[in-house]
Amino acid sequence: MATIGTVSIFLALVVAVYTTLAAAIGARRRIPELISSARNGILAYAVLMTIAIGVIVFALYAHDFSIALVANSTSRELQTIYTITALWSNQAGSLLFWSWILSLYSAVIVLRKWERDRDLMPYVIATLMAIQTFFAFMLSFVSSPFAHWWVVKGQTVMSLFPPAGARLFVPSDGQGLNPLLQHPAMAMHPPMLYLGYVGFTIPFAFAMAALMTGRLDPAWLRTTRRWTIVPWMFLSIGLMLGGRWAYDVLGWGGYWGWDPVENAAFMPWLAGTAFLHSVMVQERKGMLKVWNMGLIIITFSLVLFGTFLTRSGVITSVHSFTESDIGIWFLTFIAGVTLAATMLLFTRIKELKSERDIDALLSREAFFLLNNLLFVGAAFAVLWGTIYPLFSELVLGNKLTVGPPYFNQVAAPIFGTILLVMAIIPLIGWGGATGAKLLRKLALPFAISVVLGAVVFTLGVRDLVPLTAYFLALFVIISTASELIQGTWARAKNTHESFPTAMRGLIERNRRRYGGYLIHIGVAMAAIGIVGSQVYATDTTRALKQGESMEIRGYTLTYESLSPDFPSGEGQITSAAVGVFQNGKRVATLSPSRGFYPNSGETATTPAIYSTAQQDLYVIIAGWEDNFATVTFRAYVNPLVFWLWFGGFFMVVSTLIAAWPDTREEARVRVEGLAKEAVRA
Amino acid sequence: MATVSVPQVQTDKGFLPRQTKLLLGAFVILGAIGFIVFNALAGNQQYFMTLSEMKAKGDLASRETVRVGGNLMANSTKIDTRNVTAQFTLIDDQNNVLPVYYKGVLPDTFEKSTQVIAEGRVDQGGTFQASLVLAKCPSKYDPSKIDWYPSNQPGDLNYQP
Repeated sequence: MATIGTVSIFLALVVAVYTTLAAAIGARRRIPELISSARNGILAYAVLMTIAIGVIVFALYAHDFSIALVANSTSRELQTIYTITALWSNQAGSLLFWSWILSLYSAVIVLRKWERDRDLMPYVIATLMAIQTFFAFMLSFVSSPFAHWWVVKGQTVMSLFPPAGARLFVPSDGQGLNPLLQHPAMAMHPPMLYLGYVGFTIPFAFAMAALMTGRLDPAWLRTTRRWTIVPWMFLSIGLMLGGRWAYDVLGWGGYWGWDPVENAAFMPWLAGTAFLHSVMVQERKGMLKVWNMGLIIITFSLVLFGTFLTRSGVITSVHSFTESDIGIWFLTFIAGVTLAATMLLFTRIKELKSERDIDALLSREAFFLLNNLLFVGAAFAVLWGTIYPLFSELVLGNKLTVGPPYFNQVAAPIFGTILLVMAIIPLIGWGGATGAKLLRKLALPFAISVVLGAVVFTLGVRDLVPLTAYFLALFVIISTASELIQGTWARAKNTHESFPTAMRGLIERNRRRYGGYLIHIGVAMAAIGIVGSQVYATDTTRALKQGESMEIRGYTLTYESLSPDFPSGEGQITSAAVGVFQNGKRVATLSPSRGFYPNSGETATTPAIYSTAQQDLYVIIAGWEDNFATVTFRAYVNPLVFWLWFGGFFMVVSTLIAAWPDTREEARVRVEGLAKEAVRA
Repeated sequence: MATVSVPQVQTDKGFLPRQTKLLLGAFVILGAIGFIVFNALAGNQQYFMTLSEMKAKGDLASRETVRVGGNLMANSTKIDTRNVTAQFTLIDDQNNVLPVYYKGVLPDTFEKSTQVIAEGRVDQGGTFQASLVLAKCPSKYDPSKIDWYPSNQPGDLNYQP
């Protein structure tokens, strides 16, 4: 069965090479048969990758330990759901997953957009399949999902083909999955991230096609609009899930550690956000064209870099768990892609001149430019902090580490300024506003925010930085909400609709703008959650005998009972029952636990959380002695962290609203396409 | 399609032409970000060294907070769950030893870990007072380094698919 998978991948490599060449040559020499053939090539690649992934998923489900991937990542006791999702817990499986998702996205693109963007499509295919050639090559020769374990000279070796004199080794049971990964958020986190990462390949391919054909009009932007915001949404979901997983599983009370692997996903999100915004200026005013090309190149390079960082373990990270030779291949590939794309950009740079100049500093265009600078600056700051240890070792000869203090110190001013921009932008128009007019529009939201800020001050927030951050986040919410309300009011007056209907109508008329505003509100809520939990978290650790209590911030926690060694999946879980009391009344019973996983010999601490809108009470078992007579508990109180998760959820729902297909818009686009066909014929 | 382009007369208000103002603004922003980055980096780097490097650098580790990495000496870990403190010893290939004292909860993977990173300072008594302990998971996750022990149990080495 593994043979079917291996053959599929080899065939896929051949198809990828053929399709790249057919598309490129067919486009240059105008040979429609080659282009059609290339189009079929994309579909064939998708089929082959689907077969390969089907084989490996079946192998996982059937516990086929003759395949190393299955033996390394699963075991017989592992729950079925984690057995399947173990596919992306290892390197080869992740690469296969990446390539498979890209193949599906590519297939959808050629099936849906073929008519509309005839001129660009061959080059889009060529770009996509060139990228797929790399992945297929890696999957065939460097990191194959279908490698086996062989025994040769008393040693075990993992490879696709047997070394001389080796015998196939099939363990009777697998190594099992890292217990930290046995969590629903972690099961979904890689697919969400990859749907995001891989999604950005599509606008990149269109951008390259635009550069190669010289068709630099905004058509490629309009086509890839949804192909930008949907991946952005998945990337956001992936980041949220990663944070939630860290919070639920790692047991240190936090959700983000500025770990290289976390930064690897955050950087493309930052660049992607800049791109998402900046394209609006090009569509509307024909400006920032070079910026947009630059931004999508940066975003895609960071996507590849992120995949590389996560899978090659090149920077020492507590999360890094795979180290092998894909590193050199990846680095070369990233360098090659970035260089080629940048050179292509420079050959067309004269044709990408702005159609207009920025008329006023206090205009939407200028603020979008400022936005670009801030987001790119943020991405640079995170990148520099992430690779500095490597740079310093290679160039300066020092081994250094750069930790959260650096990242928090740079993040605060940059994101604070971004919040300020977010607050002002809904009230500033294209073409500019005078200073006086803008101040008048801002006056009421500003005043309300100041009042709310004063309330926050009286509630105990006295330090300048968090107070400013709260103020800015509130300013964003009030300012954006005021735009929504004013727009709804004006519409309701005209159409005599009820307020909710008017608001719905308003949003539907311009999903991008108003959906975007809703997303901003979600971001501001998340910011409030981040500030509260980062600045004002407290914790307490106590050793308790059964029946004893500890206090933290108005909560009384009583160690009530313990149930040891309950078997669950691969592990044996010991959990304690902790009663939570506030003002003498029981508000919750929490069950923090510790699991022991014999397969890996590891212990995993699982926190129990009592969450309210105001704060989270977060309890873990830190240890025990005397056969559980005394158990040490650590309790955290994390203020406002609920708003981080709720804000994230709000962002995602708003993104769906913003990206939802608009029947009127679709009709207009269809008419446009038909008109183009008529002109051509 | 004929377009009539009307030359736009922009009245530049103020001392500088608009484009220059824009460029200046961009430079200011980028400059500010650059300043923030390099300032934060300068203030937040820490030396990361092996035990022998720490020995070679004299009393650096007692003056500054550093990160030191080494192997965990077997059976050296003592955990006090009541006071939530721990002691262990780091050792390297040249038999340099460093006793470490940590006030906190050790990571779950600690006792099985081979490599440990501790952040802190050396006190006057020569003990490393750690404020942070990271345990590097053993090569468990590097599939090429998994130690399979073909045993005599049925279904292992002699298994023929």
